[in-house]
Amino acid sequence: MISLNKNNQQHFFWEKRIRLVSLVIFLFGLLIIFRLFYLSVYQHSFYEAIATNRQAVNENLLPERGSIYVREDGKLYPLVTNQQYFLVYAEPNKVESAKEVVDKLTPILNLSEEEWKGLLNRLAKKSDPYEPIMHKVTQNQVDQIKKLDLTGVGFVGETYRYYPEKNIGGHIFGFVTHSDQEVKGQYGLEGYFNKELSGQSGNIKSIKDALGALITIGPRTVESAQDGDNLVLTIDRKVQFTACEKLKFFYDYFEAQDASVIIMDPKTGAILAMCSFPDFDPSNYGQVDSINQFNNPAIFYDFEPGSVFKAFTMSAAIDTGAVSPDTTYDDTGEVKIGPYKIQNSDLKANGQQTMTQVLEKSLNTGAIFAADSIGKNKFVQYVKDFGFGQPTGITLETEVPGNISSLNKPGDIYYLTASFGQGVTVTPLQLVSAFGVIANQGKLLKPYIVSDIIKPDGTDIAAKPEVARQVIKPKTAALVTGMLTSVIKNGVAKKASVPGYYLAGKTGTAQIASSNGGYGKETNHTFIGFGPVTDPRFVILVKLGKPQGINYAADSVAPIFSQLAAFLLNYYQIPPDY
Amino acid sequence: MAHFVKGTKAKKSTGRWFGLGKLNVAALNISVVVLIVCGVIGYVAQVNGLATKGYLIKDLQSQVNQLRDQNGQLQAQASDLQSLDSVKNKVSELNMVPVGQANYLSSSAVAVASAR
Repeated sequence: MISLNKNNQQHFFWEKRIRLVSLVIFLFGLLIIFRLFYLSVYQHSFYEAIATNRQAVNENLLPERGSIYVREDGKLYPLVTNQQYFLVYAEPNKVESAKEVVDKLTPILNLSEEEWKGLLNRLAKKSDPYEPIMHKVTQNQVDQIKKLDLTGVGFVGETYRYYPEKNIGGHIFGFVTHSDQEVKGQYGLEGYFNKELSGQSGNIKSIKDALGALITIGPRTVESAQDGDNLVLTIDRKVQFTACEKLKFFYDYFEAQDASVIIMDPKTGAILAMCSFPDFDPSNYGQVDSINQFNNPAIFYDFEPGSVFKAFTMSAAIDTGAVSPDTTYDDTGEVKIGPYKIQNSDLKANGQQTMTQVLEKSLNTGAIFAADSIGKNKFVQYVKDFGFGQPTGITLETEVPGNISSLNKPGDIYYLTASFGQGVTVTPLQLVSAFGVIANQGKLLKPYIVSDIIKPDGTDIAAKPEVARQVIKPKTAALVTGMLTSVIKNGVAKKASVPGYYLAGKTGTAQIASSNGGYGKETNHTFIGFGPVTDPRFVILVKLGKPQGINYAADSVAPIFSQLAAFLLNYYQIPPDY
Repeated sequence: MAHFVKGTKAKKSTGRWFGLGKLNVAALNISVVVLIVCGVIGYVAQVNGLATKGYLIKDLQSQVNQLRDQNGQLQAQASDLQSLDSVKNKVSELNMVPVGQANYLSSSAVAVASAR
């Protein structure tokens, strides 16, 4: 009994201790639970923010910008595409020897002395965590730098626009600027179709591990980026190349202030070639003398067209039935309109002349006669119907409508002056489009330069020729074509001819308005023509602004037309007419 | 003491449970534990496998991107070589000459008579 009581006492003693220890452990556990509750429930948002900041990925997925192609023999050739380049950067705080790094990079990156000095100063700052060295570095250069194994030098991929065809004209394409991670098209097609070419950014939300890689089993929300649309142009690469090459030669030869050539298919309105100078390189758009160079002269710079406008005056007069190609008038060499006297460019009185001879000899007095025969209202209506005074609607940025507001002024002098292309301003594209009316049985077509828009999913949206209106009757078009053919065959534009072929065309040597009022001695030279007249395949406009050392368009731009026409007749394998 | 001892003696199992037969509770407990352990191991293995696959996918994606970049570079080189500037520069090397005037043959039938 006594030993039992002693055992019980010992048992109860240990039981108390165990209970005390249990209580302490329990309290400790309770403390942990409370702490856990405090951290994970009460301070949940605080720690969630820290974790999100470290682990969360919320990035934009950049789309690929659409490319611009031309179609040849069923294949697409890129004129504007994207290419991977690299940004080379340094982490100065990790660079061991700034001079060694800069000396090794200089021959690879072709740094100038000034750039060498600037880079050395920047890399010498040991507290600096990041310094960009150069953008648009090629893969070849990066491979060379990698071989050097320089500590603190790294690379990041960048995408830039790439133009495989050089010397093909920057005005059509425009260019792309990069700023604050925004890529934006400016001018030309890049500007007009910026939204379509850009596509749409996507987004990815996920979590990353300590190395920065996405955790596969983690939560993920992805909104895919949508790449930009691709454009296919109506431009014929070979025609464009030839046109630009020939224009450049004469632009330099005549030391012209500006030059333009446009070649259009008269049956569809498709632009086969469009080239202007001074030009710019879209991949180096910063290297221009003036920002004005970015504007496409073919659609932005309107000018007084001069005698080429007589073709439209004559078309209007014949279409109304007021005159016919054989209608005659007495050319006294000048016409008096109120206090004004208008003379022929050769200052001669030619006597009795037909309407055909008016165009052959480019007689201002004859144009006035034709315009006067239909009256101001009808003349103005035809001018508008031919598309002047309004944009053509071509899908290029910065097109201007020209200016025919003088035709609204009271009195006859303005519209009669406009009859031979002075006092109104038009763009080269409006002129070639209007001339296309004569080549296309009287129908005005909307000129277009984008034949297809190809969506990222492959859907092809093809453009269709658009007839704006019937401006003149098909018979009128045929008659005027005959008259314009005579201009080249028998008239002042013999240098525009191509042996064996009937081509129609008109010269224009237009005076340029002086800032002091009136007209100066400088001129713009224009020639517009089409052929072959039996089945026109092309309309060509050539313009030289203020060419030096030459007086008349018949001697400057008419030969350029002849060369281009000869090329096209050969290129399209068109057999001769005679 | 005897009462206490008596009182603490556990009741013997009757060995019957809803009429299904004799069921060993201990065996059931062990089975559940084994199942849980297998489940946990399986889950860990699956997650580990997914994570491994994730790294593989990342590597493959990186290879795809590299190949895509290389493809782009090659396409750019091809475009360069096909450019008209490049062709023009090679014209003299290839001994090519400008196209001259083409002669066209008429396909229309021409009636002829023999001269006598």
